[in-house]
Amino acid sequence: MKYATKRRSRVALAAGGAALALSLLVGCSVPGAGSGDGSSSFKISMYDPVNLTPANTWDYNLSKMLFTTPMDLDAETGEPVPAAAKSVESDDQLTWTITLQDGWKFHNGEPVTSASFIRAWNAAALGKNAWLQNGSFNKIAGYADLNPAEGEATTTELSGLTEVSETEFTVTLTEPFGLFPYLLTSNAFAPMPEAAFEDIDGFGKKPIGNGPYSIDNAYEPNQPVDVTRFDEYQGKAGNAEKITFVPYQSQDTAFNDLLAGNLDIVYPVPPDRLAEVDGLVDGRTAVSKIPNLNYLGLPLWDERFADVKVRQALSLAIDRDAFTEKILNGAGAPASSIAPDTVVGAQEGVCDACTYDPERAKQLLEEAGGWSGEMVLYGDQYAGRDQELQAMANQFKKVLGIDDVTFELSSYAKHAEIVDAKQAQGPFQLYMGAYYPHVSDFLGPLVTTDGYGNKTGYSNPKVDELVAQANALPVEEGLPLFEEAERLLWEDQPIIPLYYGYYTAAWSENVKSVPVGFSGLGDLRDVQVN
Amino acid sequence: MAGYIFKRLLQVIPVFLGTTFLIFVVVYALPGDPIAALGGGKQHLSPSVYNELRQRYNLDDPLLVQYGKYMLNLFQGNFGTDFQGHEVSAIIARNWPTSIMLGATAWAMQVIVGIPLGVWAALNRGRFPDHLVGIVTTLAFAVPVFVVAYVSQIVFGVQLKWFPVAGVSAGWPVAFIVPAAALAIMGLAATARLTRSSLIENLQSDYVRTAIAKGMPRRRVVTNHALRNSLIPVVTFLGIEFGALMGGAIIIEGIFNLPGLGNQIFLAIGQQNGPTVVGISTLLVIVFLVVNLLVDVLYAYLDPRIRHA
Repeated sequence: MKYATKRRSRVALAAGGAALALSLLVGCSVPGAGSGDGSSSFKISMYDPVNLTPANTWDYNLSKMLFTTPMDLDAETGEPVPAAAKSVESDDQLTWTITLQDGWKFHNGEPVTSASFIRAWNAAALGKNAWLQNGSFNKIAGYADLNPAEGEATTTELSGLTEVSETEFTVTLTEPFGLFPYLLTSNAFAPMPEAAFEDIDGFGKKPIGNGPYSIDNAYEPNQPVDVTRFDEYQGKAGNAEKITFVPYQSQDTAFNDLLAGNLDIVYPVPPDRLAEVDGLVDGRTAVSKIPNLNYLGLPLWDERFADVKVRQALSLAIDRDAFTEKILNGAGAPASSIAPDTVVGAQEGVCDACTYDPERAKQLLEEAGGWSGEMVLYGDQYAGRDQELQAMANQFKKVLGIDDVTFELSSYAKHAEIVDAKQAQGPFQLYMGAYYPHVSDFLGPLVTTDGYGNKTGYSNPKVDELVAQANALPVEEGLPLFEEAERLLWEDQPIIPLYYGYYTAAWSENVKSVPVGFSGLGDLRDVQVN
Repeated sequence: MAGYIFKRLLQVIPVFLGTTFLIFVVVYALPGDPIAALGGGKQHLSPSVYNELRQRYNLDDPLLVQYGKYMLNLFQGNFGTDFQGHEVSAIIARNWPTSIMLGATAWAMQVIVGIPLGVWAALNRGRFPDHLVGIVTTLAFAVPVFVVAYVSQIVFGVQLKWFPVAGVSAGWPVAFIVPAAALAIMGLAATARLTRSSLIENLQSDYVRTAIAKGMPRRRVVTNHALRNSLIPVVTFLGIEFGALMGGAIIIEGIFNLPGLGNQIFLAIGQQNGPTVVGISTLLVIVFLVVNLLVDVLYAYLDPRIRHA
């Protein structure tokens, strides 16, 4: 599956290059003729972005067209490659030098300089501005001063940012972090022009970016947004001249709109329509393996889960292959480690107890003294969650003989509250989406003692130390330490990996192919319109 | 009459305060923290941003204080801002026209189709048309609105391609016909039933018998005597229904991706965006109260007995 996907995107790239060359030739030999892709455009579904200031939104696809961040993820390898920056370098992983590309301009003509970045990052890091992605800046020196626990901040500038020249600035972190270039692929680190700060609310609706496309109409909640190719863009230009992003409340409606021919790309296809997708859009689909993990957290504060054998027995009792096939209709792969194989540093199969082995499960539970009493499974009300939990309950019943399994399904927010307050009295379903496709962004948040996504209360000083050490090293040097940390982790089995969720994109006959990438849809600049 | 209207106006105030307070309580008592929900699935809001936002939206005040602050703003015509900094009044102003168009179209369908269906059934009482209307209206009551909406979207939008699947780019009336029909179907069934039973009752009344005995043509008896009186409860129902249609479009607007108030509430509930939910609901309460008031006044005008009751 993985190779099929990759090959498809490579083929698309080659075809794109040929088409571009051809259209250039045609454009030269026949003056005045409309070039083949001159008026090309496509319509794509999106979630309502709410705001378009780069560090104040969770939007991804539209933002990527409006802004270019210092680094970008390579479509093939998932590794950071220079985009708005010429280079991002460091000798000690503590102080990073960012050198910008020459001659780049914002859509209003303002040059993109070091100041454009420093200005944007300072505003995003200032707690008082309350921008959603403020937390992304917490590794930069001076962040704490802009976000005091009590009272007002005394300064509005990150002490770790220093302008060297118009095209060069340095970033000093609070501690060495070899994965800093990965962070710079996040939209939170996009630059902002001076004009943005004259009317920041207006900018959130109609941003002036430095990306391959500029926005035509100000964003209004739940209204389509049109963008047009920015001709002065110095990076890779998009194929389509115009893209329309259409927000949908319901992905079902978006999919129906695609079938009726009113939409060109739907992402993602609603999970309950995956079964019919092949018959409806024959061959016009692609699967994206977003860096994520669906898992069961275990309440380590509950003494019934204190014995690792109990935890491993529960994990061994789950038939993940049947689960992904029957419950998910193939919209996910069985998880056998903390991160899917498209992620740098992932080690498929390293979790010894993440396979289906009913005999061993039974034996381990017996060795641990068996299970007595009720078991409650906790989940949110995401569509289909009840089926997922029911399937697991059946297996705990069938394989381990735990008869009394009940559910507690709550709204997303309530579920989060139960889990955060450590009120769960049994395994709780959780989803983890990583910011970038590197195993560091799974291990750090999920299983280190202070990780923001650590909901089990798991704490292993050795794991913490290894992850901290690995984070401080350049990427390649850190990998063995991450691997060792993960091996230690599975000796304790604080969580039960279930599956890596897939998203499916589907497209209309107007579009040749749609690339998928490491965080969902691939680079929309590569989309070829027929 | 003036006294009646004044008394009726006074009643509106406690009803308004009561309903808005209830909405407020329900929205703010929803489990889960609305600011944490802003963090997306990532639980990654930094503590400083979290605290700043809670403060900005008075979320740490006791509920009564929050309600008081909200009402004070509201009486100055200020619906406040949502948790993302958008003016709720701007959201309302932008989405209002779509909801009115949808509601009015659905309402017109109820009048144009519902009343004649009821009359047809009543005049053919016990015969085939009556049974047919009975079956069709029962079906309309029984099938959930969202099922009607999804099925009609797939049949008329995706398969037959007669109407757009979603959105308003095709303009009125084309873009509104299918969603309005889905929205109208239940009220339409109710209108037909109400017209039918009301007309049957009147056709059996003494004054109709007298008119027939005098030798008046049946057609005139039905239209001039029986139907006019029979429509009084129907008009009342349709009046209230107009208010209900404004607010009842939450599911329909979501499914057909119409940028109306219902869609905004749909979105806001998902985001736990309390100010938007309360703002739009409050507005709908106002609309509902005003329509109700008008209906009562009209009713009192038509039937003097009500004024003195």
